[in-house]
Amino acid sequence: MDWLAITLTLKLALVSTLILLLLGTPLAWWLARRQGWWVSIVNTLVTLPVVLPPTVIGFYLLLLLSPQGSLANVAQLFGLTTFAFSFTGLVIGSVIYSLPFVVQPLVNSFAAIPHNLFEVAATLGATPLQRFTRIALPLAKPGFVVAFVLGFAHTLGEFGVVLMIGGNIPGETRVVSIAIYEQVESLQWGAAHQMSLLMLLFAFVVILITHRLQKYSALGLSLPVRSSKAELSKSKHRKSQPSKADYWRDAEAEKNRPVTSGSERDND
Amino acid sequence: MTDSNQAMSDLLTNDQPVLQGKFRLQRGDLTQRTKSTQPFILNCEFKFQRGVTAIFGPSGCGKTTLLRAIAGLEPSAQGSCEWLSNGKSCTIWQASRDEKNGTRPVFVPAYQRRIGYVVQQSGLFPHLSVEQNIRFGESVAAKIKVAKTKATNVTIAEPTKLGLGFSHVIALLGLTKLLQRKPHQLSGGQQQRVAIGRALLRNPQLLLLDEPLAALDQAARNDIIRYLEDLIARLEIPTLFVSHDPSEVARFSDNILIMDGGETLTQGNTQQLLTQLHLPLAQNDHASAVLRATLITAKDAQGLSWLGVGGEKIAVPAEHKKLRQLERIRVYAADVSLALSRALDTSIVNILEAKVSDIQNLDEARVIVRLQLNDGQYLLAKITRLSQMRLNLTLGMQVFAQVKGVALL
Repeated sequence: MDWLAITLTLKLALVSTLILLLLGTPLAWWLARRQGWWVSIVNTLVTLPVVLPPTVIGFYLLLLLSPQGSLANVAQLFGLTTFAFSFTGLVIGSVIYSLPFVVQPLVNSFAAIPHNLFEVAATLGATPLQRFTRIALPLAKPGFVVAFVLGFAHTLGEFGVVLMIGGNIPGETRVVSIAIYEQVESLQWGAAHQMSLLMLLFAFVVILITHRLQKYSALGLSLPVRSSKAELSKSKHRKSQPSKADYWRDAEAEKNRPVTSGSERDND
Repeated sequence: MTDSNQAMSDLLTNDQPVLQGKFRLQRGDLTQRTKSTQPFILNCEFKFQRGVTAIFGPSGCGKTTLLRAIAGLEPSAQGSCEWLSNGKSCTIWQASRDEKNGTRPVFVPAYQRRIGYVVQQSGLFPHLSVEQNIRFGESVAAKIKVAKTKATNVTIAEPTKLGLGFSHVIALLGLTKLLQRKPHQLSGGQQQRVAIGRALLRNPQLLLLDEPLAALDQAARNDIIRYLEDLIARLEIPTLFVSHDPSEVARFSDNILIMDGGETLTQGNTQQLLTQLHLPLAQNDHASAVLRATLITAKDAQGLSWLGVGGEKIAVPAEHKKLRQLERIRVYAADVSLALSRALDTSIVNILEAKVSDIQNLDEARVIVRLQLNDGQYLLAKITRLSQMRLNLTLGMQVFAQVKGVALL
C-alpha cells in the first residue's frame, strides 16, 4: 500500500476543500442573490469544469503555471520557479476543478432561504453582515455539509488535471489516482486492486454517511438542497391551511414582488 | 356631504400627523421575477396620525409596496418620508435630492429605521427558538448604535417608549409556554403572535402590519384578533394596518388610507369613510358602519345591555365582553332594513330613526343607502332596488332603520 500517496491525497483534498469553502461562500452568496448578465457569465465559468475534459483544464493550467505563465511571478514569491509539478500547483488545479461541486450546493441552499427572512431581519435591526452570519449561514448549514463532502470527494477522484500539471512525484504530486494508474501500467495488479478498493469503499462510505445525515442525493449538481427541515414542515403546514385570502394574496404578491436583484446592497 | 367634510377636516386638524411623505416607484420591465409585463407605478402621498390607520384597497393597488417603502425595503422608491413633531420636521427617513438647496438624497436603510414590521407570513427564523426569535432584535442591537452614528448626519428621534419589556410582551401575547419551541412546532396563529411580539420588542417608533391575519384560517384569526385588539389599544405609536378586508378595517382602525392603482384615493376618519357611498368600502359585500355608543344599562333582566346611539336606545347581548362607558359598535349594511314607520309587530328590537342622506346603486338589483341618525352619525343599509321603489326613497326622507345585528368592537 502506497501510504505516502494516500496521505498526500487526503492532504490535497482537505486543503483544497477548505480553500474552496472560503472562496466559494462569498461567491455563492453573490451568485444566489443577484441576477443579470454578469451573474450568468460568472455562473457559467464556475460550472465549466463539470463539462470540460480534465485535460483541457490541465492544459490551460499548465500554460498558466509554467515558468513563462502569469502565475510564475507569484511562484517566485514562494521561492519556486513554477507552480507546475508542485503540491501548490495541484491545490490551484483542484480548487478550479472542484469549484462547481462546492459553489453549486451553496448557491442552492442560499437561494432556498426565503428572501423575506432577510427583510424581516433588517427591520429588526440586523446589519447586512449580521443578516449573513445570523440568518444565511445557519440556514445554509446543510448546503455546507454537502459542499464539503462533494468538494472533498471530487478532489480525491481527480486524475486528468493532476496528470497534466502535477506529474508523478512521490510525496509531492503522486496522488492515489496517479499511483493506481502507474501500478496498472507497470502490471502491479494486486497493488492497484488494493488502492482501488480502498478508494471505492471510502467514496461509498462518505457518500452514504452524507446521504443518511442529510438525506440528500449527492448525485450531481442539481442537488435538491433544502434550507432546513423546519422550513419544510412549515411549508407543509401552510399548505394544509388554505385560506380564501390566498388567491387574493398570490395575485398581489406577484405584482408587488420586490425587485430583488440588487436590493440587498441597496438596503445597506 | 358638506357637514361630513367639515367633520372630517376637524378630525384631521385635531390630530397632528406624525409621519408624512410621498413615494414614487416604478417597476415592471425592470423586474425579472414579475410575470406581469404591466408596469406598476406607485405614486402615493400619505399622512399618518397616532392610532391605527388602515391602508385599504384592491389587490395589486400598492398597499404592500407603500408599507415596504416606509419600512425602507424599497430603496428605489423616490420621494420622502419624514417624522414630525409639533408640526415641524424632525427626522427624515428618506428624501430626494433637492437641486435648489443643494441637499443630498437621504435614505436611512431598513435596519436603522425603528420599525416593527409584521408580514402576512410570519417570517420567523426557522433555526431559532421562539425566545431567540423574539430576542433577535435585542441580540443584534449592540452593533446598531455604532452603525447609527456613522451612517448619516440624520438625527434619530428618541423612540416612543412602549414600556414593553420581554416578559410584558410574552405575557400580552400569551407566549409564555411556547418559548422553547421552534417555529415549525407552532400553529399559524401562534407564529403570527410570535412575529408581532418580536416586532414589538424592537421598541418601534412605528408599527407596520401587512395583512397579519390574511394567511390564517378562521380559528387562528379569532385567536389572534383578541390579542391584537388588546395590543392596539395600548400602543401609543402610529400603527399602519394593510388590509383588503373591510370588516378588519372597521374593527381596528381609527383612520383609513384608501388606495387604488398605486395612488391615494382618499384618506380620513374610519367612521366617515366607511359610509361614503362612492368609495369601495361602502360598495363591498361586507360594508358596515361604525358608530359611537354610550352605555345606558348594563345587562338587564332579559340579559340585554342598552346603548345610546343617535338619541335612541339599542340592545346588545351583554355577554359579548365587559362593556365600556363608550363603545364602538359596528353594523353591517346587510343587517339593516328600512321602514317608513316604526314597526311594532316585528322581532327586531333595534329601530333607529334616520334621514336618507345618500343612495347609490350597487348592481342591477340592489342599492346602498346612507342614513344620518339624529346625532349626525351615519348608518348604511343595503336594500333591493325594488324596496327603494316601493318605499319611494328620496334624499332627506325620514325613515326607520331596523337593525338586525350589532357587533361591539
